[in-house]
Amino acid sequence: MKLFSYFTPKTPYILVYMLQQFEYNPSKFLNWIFTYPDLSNIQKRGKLELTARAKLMLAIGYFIWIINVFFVVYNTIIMSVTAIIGLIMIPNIVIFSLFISDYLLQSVVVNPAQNKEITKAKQKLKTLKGVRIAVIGSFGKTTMKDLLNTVLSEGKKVAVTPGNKNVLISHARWINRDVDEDKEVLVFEYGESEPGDINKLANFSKPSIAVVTGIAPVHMDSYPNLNSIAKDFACISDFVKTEDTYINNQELLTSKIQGNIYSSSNIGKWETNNVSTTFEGTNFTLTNGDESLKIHTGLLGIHNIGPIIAVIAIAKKLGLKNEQIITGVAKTLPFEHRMEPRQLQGAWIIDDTYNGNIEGMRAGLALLKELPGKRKIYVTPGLVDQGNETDSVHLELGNLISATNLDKVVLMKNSVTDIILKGLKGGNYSGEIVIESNPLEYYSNLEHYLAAGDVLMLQNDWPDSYK
Amino acid sequence: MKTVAVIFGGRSTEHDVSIVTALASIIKPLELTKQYKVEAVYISKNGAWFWDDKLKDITLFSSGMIQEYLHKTQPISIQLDGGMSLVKSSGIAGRKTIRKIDIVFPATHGTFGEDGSLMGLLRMAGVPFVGCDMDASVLAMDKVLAKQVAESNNIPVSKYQKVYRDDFVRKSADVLRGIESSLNFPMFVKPVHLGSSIGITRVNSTQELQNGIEVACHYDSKIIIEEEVPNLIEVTLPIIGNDQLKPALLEKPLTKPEDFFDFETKYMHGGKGGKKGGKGIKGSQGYSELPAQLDDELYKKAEQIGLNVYHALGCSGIARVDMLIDSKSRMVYFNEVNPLPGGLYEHNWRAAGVSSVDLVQTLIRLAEEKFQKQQQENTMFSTNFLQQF
Repeated sequence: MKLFSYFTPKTPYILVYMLQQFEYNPSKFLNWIFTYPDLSNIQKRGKLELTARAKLMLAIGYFIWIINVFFVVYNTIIMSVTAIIGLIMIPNIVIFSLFISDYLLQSVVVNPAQNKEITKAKQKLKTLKGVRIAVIGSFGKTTMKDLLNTVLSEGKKVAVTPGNKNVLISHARWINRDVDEDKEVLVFEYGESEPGDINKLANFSKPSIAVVTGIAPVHMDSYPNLNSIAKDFACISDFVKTEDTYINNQELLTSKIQGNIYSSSNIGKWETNNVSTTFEGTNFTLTNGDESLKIHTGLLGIHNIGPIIAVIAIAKKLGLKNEQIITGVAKTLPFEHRMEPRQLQGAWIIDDTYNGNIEGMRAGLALLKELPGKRKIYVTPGLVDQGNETDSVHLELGNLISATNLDKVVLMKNSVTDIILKGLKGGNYSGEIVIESNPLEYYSNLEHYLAAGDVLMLQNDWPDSYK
Repeated sequence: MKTVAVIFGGRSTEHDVSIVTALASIIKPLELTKQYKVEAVYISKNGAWFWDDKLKDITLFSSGMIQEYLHKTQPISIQLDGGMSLVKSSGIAGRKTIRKIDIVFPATHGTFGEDGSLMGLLRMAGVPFVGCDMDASVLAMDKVLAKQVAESNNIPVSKYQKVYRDDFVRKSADVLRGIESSLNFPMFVKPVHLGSSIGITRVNSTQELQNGIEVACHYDSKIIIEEEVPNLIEVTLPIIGNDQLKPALLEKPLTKPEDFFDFETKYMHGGKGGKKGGKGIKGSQGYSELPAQLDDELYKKAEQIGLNVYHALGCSGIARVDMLIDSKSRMVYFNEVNPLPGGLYEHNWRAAGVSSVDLVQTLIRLAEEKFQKQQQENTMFSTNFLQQF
């Protein structure tokens, strides 16, 4: 069956889809194909986006495939043994053609065009006067960026990098195309996928304020260990002063980076109390001596309080008034697929499918424990990119789930399922366990699994590029 | 993996409702459990049986393509082999596909399906099946018998009269006079054996009564005429269980007595207030108040009467008990029982905290438990009778 999946008319389409999943990185594509994946199991979560590049790759893939098929048919007609060789070679030739085409396209067209774009953006950046804030971290970057945008916009003209665009070329495109000279604050989200990325991005944007949102084992295929990620983050100190750096209270971060440390309980002399969380949001009071701010945010969970008070501190530094800050924070709402609550026929679903690290899982499970519900159901495939930490992270996840007293755990079947199960067993989990082999079917039929009063949390999704 | 046959369609006026019940409320959640091999068994309007995975697709029915399918396809047969098997002929060299059925999930409403006929066949076959057994189905589907059983168990029922079609045809004037002498207008005229409110008329005069009976006689040979309960609150209660009963929520349809639940209101437009929205929940039977807003005492009284009726009629698996409440006198009257609620009343169960998947799994479990219990009953008796010959 696995071998047969390389010989169907859909094979070129699936290969192009996977190229797109790897952002057309030819070496990642080649590494993946060397694992000899079952192509019939691909595309359970997404579909090929028909961009111009995807169409070109599809045309190449199918052109080569059709030529090969004709070759095989012709040789079969003339009863030549070459037909068998041709048949065996079809997938190899298609894979090789796509790899070479992608490599050439990247080297000859894409890379020079991107270099040109970056040079142009650097020139434009010299003319922009806005305060530049860098948002760095293994998790919580997009949340922090959106919080900064919502709160600071109450008193400043703010521009932020769009969506998940957190690599150099997307920063350059954003500066060239979308950022006006009148912007007073520019917020850059820094993505890190390999050592040196943070330094490269900081060299481009030259920030004066930085927020380090947290560290967790992600992209462990590129980083040897957590220390190396922390070291990468710490290079921000070469660009930003200590008093303008804000760091989540994690020992690994605070031991390597100097700055203002924030947590859900305090930042400097500002302390939080009267904390409560519902499906409508989180409330708390922020106090410093006689000064007190009553804060409401639409974001769910105590883990959001730390980032919010960091943003409040930055807003105060940039001169926003307390009223503006309170109004701004009240406008913050859950972001798409990040602890985003929605109701389904009387049940609550907390969509946290963009969560991809153990710290986020911990926060999500803490929230699930805190929220009221008749039945509590937790759905996850586990985490990708955990490298050497894979076993320990998933054992920990199993233990965390066990400690949350859930009624049901649904695990999307993949290579880490057995490790989570081991963690559940170790944690003496006593609820129901379901192993689901078809995530898309499960997600699209939630209304059949849920009843009024249930709370279901979806944490992380498992890309097709992982086994 | 056990094989569950979901039987739907049938020779009934509720044929179409049955298709929706089977496909949306039974087959889909059963397949999502991934614990059963689900076989779709469709009975056409002329009584032929078909078995095919294609029959799980609602578009086959909604597009009208079902007619073409029936025209091209050979009906199947049933093999009673100490159990039940579906037998499909391939049409090639006499080859047949045979599928042994472990459990049957009847999804047929009304005559030949919900009235005990199918249950009788399944009992004969010796296969476990979901829902009420043959005797409870017979009682539940005869509105007169059901009321008589309720009365004998001290459960209040509204005033009613029964009429046989033959009597009405032969001496309609006497019949009408007899009804008017014992019941007051307004009244409801209903075919005794039909569900989904088909053939029901609310009447206010002798002429309307005559017309109403004529309409009802078109559907059934036995007619029931009920006196309207004043200050009416109509409620319904889905219940599951064999011995240990679990009620869902008491539900109140949001209709006035003058536009009572006819078929159109129930199934065609999501209720008469359906398009306008409004409070309540849109279930298989249009908009309703869920749970019914009654004070605690009245709610508990109605719930208890519902459970008593379920028990008195010997229901098992699932059923829905309809009741009528006089809001001034606070009297709760048993009205009728539906042994296979449309769509299993899954909207109500969901609101009561039971998901569609959990509901069908529970019903399968109840069916197996009931069957096991029946198997323990001795139906054989050894005698020397044959040795005399």
